Amino acid sequence: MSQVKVEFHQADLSKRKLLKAASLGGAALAVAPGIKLFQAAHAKPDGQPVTDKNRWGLLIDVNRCADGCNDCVDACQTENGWGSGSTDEQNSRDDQKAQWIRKVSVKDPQTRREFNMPVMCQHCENPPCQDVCPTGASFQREDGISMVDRHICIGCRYCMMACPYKARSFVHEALSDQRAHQPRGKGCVESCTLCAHRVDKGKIPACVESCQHGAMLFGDLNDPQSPISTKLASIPSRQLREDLKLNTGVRYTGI
Amino acid sequence: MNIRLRKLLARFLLFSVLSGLGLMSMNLVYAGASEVLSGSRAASLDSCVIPDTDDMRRNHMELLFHKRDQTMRQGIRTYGDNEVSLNGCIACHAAKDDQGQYIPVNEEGQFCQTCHVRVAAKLDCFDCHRTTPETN
Amino acid sequence: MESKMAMTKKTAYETVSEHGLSYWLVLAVLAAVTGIGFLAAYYMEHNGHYVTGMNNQIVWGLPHVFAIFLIIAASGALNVASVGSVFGKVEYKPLGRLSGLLAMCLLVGGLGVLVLDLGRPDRLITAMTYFNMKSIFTWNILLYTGFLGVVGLYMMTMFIKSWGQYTKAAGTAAFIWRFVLTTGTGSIFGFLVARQGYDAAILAPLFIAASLSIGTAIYMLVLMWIYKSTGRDLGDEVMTRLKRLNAVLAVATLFFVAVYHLTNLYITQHHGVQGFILVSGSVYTYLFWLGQVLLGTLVPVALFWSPSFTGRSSITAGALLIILGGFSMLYVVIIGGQAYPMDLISGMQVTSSFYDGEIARYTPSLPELLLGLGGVAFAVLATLFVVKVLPFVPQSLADQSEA
Repeated sequence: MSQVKVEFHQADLSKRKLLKAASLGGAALAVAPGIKLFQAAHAKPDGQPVTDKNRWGLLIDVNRCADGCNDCVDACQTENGWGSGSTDEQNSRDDQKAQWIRKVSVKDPQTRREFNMPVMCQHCENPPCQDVCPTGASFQREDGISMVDRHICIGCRYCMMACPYKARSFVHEALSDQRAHQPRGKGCVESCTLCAHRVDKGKIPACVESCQHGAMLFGDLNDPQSPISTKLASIPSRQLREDLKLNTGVRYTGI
Repeated sequence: MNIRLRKLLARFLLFSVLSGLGLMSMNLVYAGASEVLSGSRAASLDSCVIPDTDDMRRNHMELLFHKRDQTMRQGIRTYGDNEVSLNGCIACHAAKDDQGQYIPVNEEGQFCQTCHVRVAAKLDCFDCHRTTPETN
Repeated sequence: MESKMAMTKKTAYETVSEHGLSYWLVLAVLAAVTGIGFLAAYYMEHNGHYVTGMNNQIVWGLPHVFAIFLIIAASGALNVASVGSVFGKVEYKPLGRLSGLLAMCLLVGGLGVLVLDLGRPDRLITAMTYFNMKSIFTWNILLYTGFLGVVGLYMMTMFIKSWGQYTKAAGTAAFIWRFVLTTGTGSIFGFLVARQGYDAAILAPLFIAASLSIGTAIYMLVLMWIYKSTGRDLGDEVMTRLKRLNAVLAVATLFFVAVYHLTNLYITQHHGVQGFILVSGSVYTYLFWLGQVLLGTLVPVALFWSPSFTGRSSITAGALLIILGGFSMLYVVIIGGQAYPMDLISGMQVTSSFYDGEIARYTPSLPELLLGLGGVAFAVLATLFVVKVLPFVPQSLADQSEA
C-alpha cells in the first residue's frame, strides 16, 4: 500500500517539473477602474501546495456595506450549500442552523451612528480555535486560511467556545444535499473557508464576487503590491476584537 | 477443570480457523468482484484512473486518504492532467435510475455500498461528501 | 497515637454481602438509569443534536454540566485517601480504599457522558490517536486516563501487603495528579479568552476547591449508605471529621467565588456579564444566589458546623445541598457564561440573524438530562458493585472509644 503512495508522490514531482508556473491566464477582475480585486498571477500553479508566501485576507468597507443588502450571505449559501443553498437542515431550529457569514447591524449607543458589516471567520494568524482543538482538526493552511478537517473532527465544539467571532457552526442533523466541492455533515463543526476551493483555482471568494457595492476586497496581505495591501497601507482599518491580538486576515475600514 | 480447559482450547481453535478463513475469503471478494454498474460512465471505460483495477480495488482508500490531505491541507486539487478526486470517483461511478436521475453511490446495491457491506467496512465518506454528481 | 496506629493497621476490609434486598433493588434501579442514559445518548447521536436544547449559541449544555461535575467530583473524592496517606492522618486511612474506588468510578461516569455527547462519538479513537498538544483538552484526555492509571496503582499499594511501603509515594503521585487534573479542568474555561464570563485564571483554584467539597460530600453519602444498608458500624468520630472537612472546603470554594466576582466587578468591561449573572434576574441569578450560595454553601456549612445538628440526617441533607450547590455553580459557569453575548465591537450594540448581542436561550431537553443522570447512576452503580466483589470497605468504622 505504501508503494502506491510513493507512486503518487513521484507523479506529483514529475508533474511539478512539467508545470510552467504562469500557466494561468491573466484574467484579473476589476470592480472599478484601476482597482483590481485579485491578480491571477498570485494564484498558485495547479498541483503545487499552498505556501506561506501568500496570506489571503479581506478588507471590508463598512461605509459601503448597504443596509438591507444580503448578497454576500446569499452568495455564500449558494456556493457552499448551506441555508438557502441546500434543502438540508429542515429539522434544526433557527438557533441550530449553520451560518458561515452573517450581516451584523452595529449601533453606537452614544453617537447613534449605525452601520452594517458582514462577519465571517476572521482567519486569524493565531486562531484560538486551532489552539483548543484536541485532535488538530481545526487547522490553518500555509496561506493563512483557517479550516476544519472534518475527517478528524470529533464534534466537541471547544473551538466554538473559543472563537471570539461566533464564526463557527455545529451541524445538528444528517445532511444529504451538499455541494460536491464543499463537504458538510452531521456532528462536525464548520465555518467559512474563504472559498479555498475557488482561491486554489485563481478565483475570488463568492461573497466578494457578489458584492455590488464594492465593500469587499480580497487579496494577498503578504504582497505589498497587491491592491488590498496598498489600500490597507493608505487608509485606517481595524480588526474585530483587536484587544485579543489575533492578527486577523479580515480587516474592516470605517468602523 | 481439564475438560473445561480443553473445551476452551477447542473453541479458541475453531474461532481462529473461522476468522482466518474469513480473512482469506475477503481476498477472494476483492479479486473477484466487479461492481461497476451499467449506465455509469465507468462502464464505458477500459480502466479506472489507475490502470490496474485490482490495485484500485484494494488500495483506493489509501489513494483517497492521500488525496484528501493534499486537497484539504495543501490545496492541491489536480493530479497530473486529471481532476482526480472523490468527486471524480462519484461522477464516473454513479448510476442513473429509470427517470435518468443519479442514484446515491452509498445506496443499497450501488457502487460503493455493495462492497463495503460485503466486507463490513463502514462507509464514512458520505456522512459529509455529496453522493451524486452535481448536475447544474 | 501509637495505639491508634495499631488499630488502623489492623483494619479488616470485607466485601459487602450482609445486606437485604434493598441493596439489590438500588443496584437494579441504578442499572436501569444507566441503560436509559445509553438509550438517550443513542437517540441524540442517531438524530443529531437538533433533538437537544443545545444550539450554535449554547454549544455546551446539560451533558457538559453533568460531565464536568462528575470529573471534578472524582478528583475531590480522592481527597479522603490523600488526607490519610499523604498527610499521614491515620484516622483517615481505613477510608482510603473506598475513596480511590469512588474517584475512579466518578471519573469514568463523567468521561462517559462527555464522550457520548460528542458530535462524532464513533471517532473516539481519533481523539486517542490525533493529539494537538497545545490544546488544554488534549492534556485533559491524557490527565484523565492517567488519573485512572495512577489511582489504580495507588489502590494496589493499599491492597497488596508487600506493596504497602509504596502507599505514601503512590498516594502523593495521585494527589499531585489530581491537583493538576482539576487545574486542567478549570482551565478549559479559564483559557477561553473570547468570553468575558471565563478567561480568568482563578477558575482553576476555584474548580479545585469545589472539587474537594463536592467529592467529600459524595463520599460521605456513599459511605453512610453502604454502612447503613449493611448494618456495619460507622462511628460519629469519622463522620464528624468528614463533615467538618467538608464545611471548610465549602467555605474555601465560596471564597474563590467571591474573589472571582469581586475582581470582575472592578473591571468596567466585565460589568455586563457580572450584572447578568448576579442581578439581572435570569435563571442564572437564581441559581447563583439560591442554589450556589444559600442552599449550596451557607445552609450545609451551618448543618455541618453548628452543634445543634448532630444526626446523620443533617449530614445527608448537608451533603445533598453541597452537591446541589456544586451543580448550580457549574450550570452558572458553563451555561451562563455562554448565554451572555460576546463583545464583537467594544461599546457598540450589535444585532444579527445569528443572535449577536442577544442573551442566548437554552432549555435543556429530556435526553440531555437522561444522559447526565445515566453517568451519575453508572458511577454509583460501579462503586456499589465493586465493593461487593472486592474488599474495599472496612468491616467496622466504629468510634475508637467503643471498639
